[in-house]
Amino acid sequence: MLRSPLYDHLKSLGAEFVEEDGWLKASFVDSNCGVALRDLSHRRRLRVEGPGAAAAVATTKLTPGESASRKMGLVLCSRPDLFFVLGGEGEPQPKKNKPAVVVDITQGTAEILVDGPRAVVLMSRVCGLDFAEFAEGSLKTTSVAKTTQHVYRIDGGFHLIGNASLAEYLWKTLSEAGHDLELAPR
Amino acid sequence: MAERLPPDKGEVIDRQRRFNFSFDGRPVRAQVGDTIASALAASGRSTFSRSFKYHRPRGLLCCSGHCPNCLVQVGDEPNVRACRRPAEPGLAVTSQNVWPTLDFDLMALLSLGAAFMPVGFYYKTFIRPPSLWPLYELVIRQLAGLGKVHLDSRAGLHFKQYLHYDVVVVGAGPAGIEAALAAAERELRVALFEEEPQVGGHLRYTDPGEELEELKQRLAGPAIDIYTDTTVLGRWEENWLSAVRENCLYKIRAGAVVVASGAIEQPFLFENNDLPGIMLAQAVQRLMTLYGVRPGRQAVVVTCNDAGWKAALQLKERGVEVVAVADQRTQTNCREAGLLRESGVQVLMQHSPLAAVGAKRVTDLMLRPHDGGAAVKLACDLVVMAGGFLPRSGLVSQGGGKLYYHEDQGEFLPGQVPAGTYVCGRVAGVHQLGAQKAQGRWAGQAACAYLGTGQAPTPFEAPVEEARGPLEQLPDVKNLFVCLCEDVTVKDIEDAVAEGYRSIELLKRYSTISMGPCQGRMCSMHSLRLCGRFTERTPGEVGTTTNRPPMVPVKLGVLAGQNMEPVRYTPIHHWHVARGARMMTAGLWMRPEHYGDPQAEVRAVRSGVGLIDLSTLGKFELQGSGVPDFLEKVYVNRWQKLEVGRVRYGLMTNDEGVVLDDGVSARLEDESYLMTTTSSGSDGIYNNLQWWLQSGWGEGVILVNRTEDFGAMNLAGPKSRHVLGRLTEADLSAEAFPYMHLREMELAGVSCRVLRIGFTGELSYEIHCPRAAALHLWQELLKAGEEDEIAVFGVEAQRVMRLEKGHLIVGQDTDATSDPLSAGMQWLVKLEKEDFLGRWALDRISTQGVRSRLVGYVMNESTVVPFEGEQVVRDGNTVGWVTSSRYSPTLEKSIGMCWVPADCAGPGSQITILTRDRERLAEVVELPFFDPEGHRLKC
Repeated sequence: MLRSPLYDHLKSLGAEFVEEDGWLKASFVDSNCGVALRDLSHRRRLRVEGPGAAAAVATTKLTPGESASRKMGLVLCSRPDLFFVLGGEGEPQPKKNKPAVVVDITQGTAEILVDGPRAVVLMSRVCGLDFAEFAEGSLKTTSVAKTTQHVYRIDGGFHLIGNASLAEYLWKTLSEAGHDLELAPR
Repeated sequence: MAERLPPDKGEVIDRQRRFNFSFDGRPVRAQVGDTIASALAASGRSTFSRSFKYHRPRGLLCCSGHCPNCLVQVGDEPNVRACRRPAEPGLAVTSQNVWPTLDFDLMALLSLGAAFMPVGFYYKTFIRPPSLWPLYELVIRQLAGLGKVHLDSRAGLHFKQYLHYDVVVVGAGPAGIEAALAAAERELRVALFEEEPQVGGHLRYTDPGEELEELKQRLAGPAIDIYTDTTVLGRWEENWLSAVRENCLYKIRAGAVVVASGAIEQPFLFENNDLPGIMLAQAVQRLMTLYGVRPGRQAVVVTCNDAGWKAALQLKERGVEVVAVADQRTQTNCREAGLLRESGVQVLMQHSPLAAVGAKRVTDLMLRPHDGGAAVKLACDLVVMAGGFLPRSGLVSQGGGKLYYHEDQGEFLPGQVPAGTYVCGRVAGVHQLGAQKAQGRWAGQAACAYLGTGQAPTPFEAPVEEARGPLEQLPDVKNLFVCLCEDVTVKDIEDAVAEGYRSIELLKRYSTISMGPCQGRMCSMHSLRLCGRFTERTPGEVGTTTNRPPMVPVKLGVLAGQNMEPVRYTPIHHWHVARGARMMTAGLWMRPEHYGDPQAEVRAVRSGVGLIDLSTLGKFELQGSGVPDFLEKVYVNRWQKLEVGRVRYGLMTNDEGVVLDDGVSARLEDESYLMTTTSSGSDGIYNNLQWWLQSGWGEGVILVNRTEDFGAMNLAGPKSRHVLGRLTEADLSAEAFPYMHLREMELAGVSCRVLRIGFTGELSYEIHCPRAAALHLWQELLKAGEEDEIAVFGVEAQRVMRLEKGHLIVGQDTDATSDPLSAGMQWLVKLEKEDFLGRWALDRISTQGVRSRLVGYVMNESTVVPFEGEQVVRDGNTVGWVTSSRYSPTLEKSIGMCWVPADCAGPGSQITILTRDRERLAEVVELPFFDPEGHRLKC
């Protein structure tokens, strides 16, 4: 079974683990809280990079920061030559004469969801963005707690996608920053 | 002397809920809602602190967090303003800077030597003889400073928070509230910052009636983010503000700023003007209205504006006997003056305070008529001063605004203000309530218009104000304190000016006036007026000192914020920790330094087999037809003919020929390559490569950073082939899988890339596997090596072995001036290549010859192991330095690498290393120290 980069830390926090798609997925007892942190590192993430990246994900109209739902998954445009695909099942298909590299970054990255009514307050303690201008469904690559993260906003929550090696640091830093915000793992 | 008054509107205390805290070990009764100061005042305390220099008793003066008079120690936190800190049950409050007690402070005897401590005396006194400085320092350290820092105190949690608003309003008085409301009505994002616990500004204690309630009710309507107990600290470019609330530092980006920060009431100058019982009008208003504390029984009010009359009427209405009101002006038409006259209060127009009388508290006040008549002596236990206002214009100045001196009002007011900044209320010199509100509304609308929302309002015309500063007709006495923080007197200012310190900036630095805890809030107006008087200039000509952030003292912990030092963990990190590895940082990575005995780890690898976690290595994939050309450009050696499945060592330099990084690259497929870099250089090299790709070298190349996608480990030692063979059916023989080759194979069910390379000089396999499988593979390898007594080894053992093998570490053996020709890597540099980064510089160095070289050495005494960084000396001069130094358990010698002049770099040369202050001999030797033919590596 594959383990999230947060496995050891979440285990020390009392998480229970269930199997899902070959991964050990952490679960906590649900509770009402101001901010919830959830480990979504088991979710499939692809990085599509190169001059033909847009063609490979079939979303040539997306501009940086925008997203679109496709059969292959949720497609996020970071740069004109760099896209991410979250979830889904299909594979991006690079076109002839339009080179692009598709890399599965599920293991090399972690995905942490910051959710709940006080998520914006927590995020504003670790990130300098103006969250009022951070539209639903948009992606920004920015500094979060002094690490580079791809931040995707949906349903009011923030998905932080960054290096797996930094996941435990980031989780702990978020937890400390939210110490007075009724933060709880989910 | 003081006591609680009957309940009245505006109170913030809960009279039903009481508790105790301690002050200097004695219990103090407090009501919920009290500050430490209000509770102490209610308990009858007059003296709250001692002055910094002469240890004169000091009582409450401003009650609003500006003056230094109520600084106390709360637990382990020094310099807490008692008038701002809420009292809490069980709080241990102590006085500061006293010995032995606050009420009986023997250090007050210092005042007897005042004649020997004139302004600037420390600059002149403590410089000779120099031999006595240690004694001076000892005494100064004993006497100076306020409060005690407990070195074992815990810092606690601090954090920073970013805020973004269209309009930020600083100050929630009547003007600020109106400004916020006006901006919010236009549906902009508005924040209102107020340093007090509640909104309302001066209305809270001067007139807590319908006007205040109406403002509060209106404020509850629109969406305005209100930050109370929050002090705006400063302002920088582009409307970037900072504010502090408890342990949080806010960093605020504002579209427009409305400064409604109010004004600070000023004291008068007269003899003994620092005695307990002498308070500002706003202080007695706060004590009575907010906390129901009677500030005294017999009050004399001295004023130069209508604010003093208002305070006098409030005193009378709350049952304090108002002995007299002395006004410096010739007349006043304010309503309160009429009521007080009618009630029989003695009114003394054109009178100024001359001297206060008393020891531990004021007992009498001498008043001087302006017509030269006899002084009037009035018995009192409370002197109330309304000496004009100091507009809090710091945020305007910090934003680039200019102040001008308003002669009639005696105030420095904002003149030219920065774009997007609007000023209203008392800070703008507007003291009438109606005008304050109207100006606030104008400011809010103007801020919106600046942001493109709504029409710009018509310019605001301020009404003629009566408020103005005090007349300066000073008696020639000694105890006439201008600066309460540093005990600077009028005489000190005069002497400093006489010594040539005529500029207000120099005067400030020489006399230390306005440099204490109040930061000029109680003394800056007086000091510049006095500077003007002694230099025969107007206050406007003297000007103000530069206003800098922070506006109030801030704890260092708040500025530091939350500890955010990113650390990176490998997928095997927790295994290392669980096995007792001593972890070390390598860049941001945490790596095992060793597992208890690094020398034993070396021996285990040399004689058997060992396993090290290398997940931190940079790992890039390059794809496309242009990769060979790109590699030729970024490496100093050749790449065009690298065959599929082969691995080659590469070295990168920058334009100046300086070594940037090294590593191996392998050809995976025809148009697919794997590049590895050093762990700490990974991010920098990725950025560097991206820069070149996007600057014209990117045709046919796609670079993908796979560092995080793969874990990596190295199985090293003569038995490594044997151990690895237990996990795969692949042919691992030297013929089938030779040195410097790569193979893809399945190990323990995990698809891996295996490179036959190693840093240790032993038969080695560098294994790259998917990150999530790294721990599994690590454990399987250990299991497979159990029979061969496999050992895990850390960075320290690896460093020893690589030194034995003569491999350099970029960044340790090289620095920002090291080129590969000097570093002994000339065999790698292919100057005949068409072009590569650093070629021109290396060509020049090759022609001119190198001046120093990186060489290996063996210490003559094997027990002496120099520290890395120690010097290589010749004839008493430093000529080089040690870059790597270890005791080699394999060779049983002390070996190392060092930079030396080229003329003594030949093998056999004797060099001298200065280690632990002794010169020790070493011999330069050929590298590597161990297995020079590479038999073990290639077997």
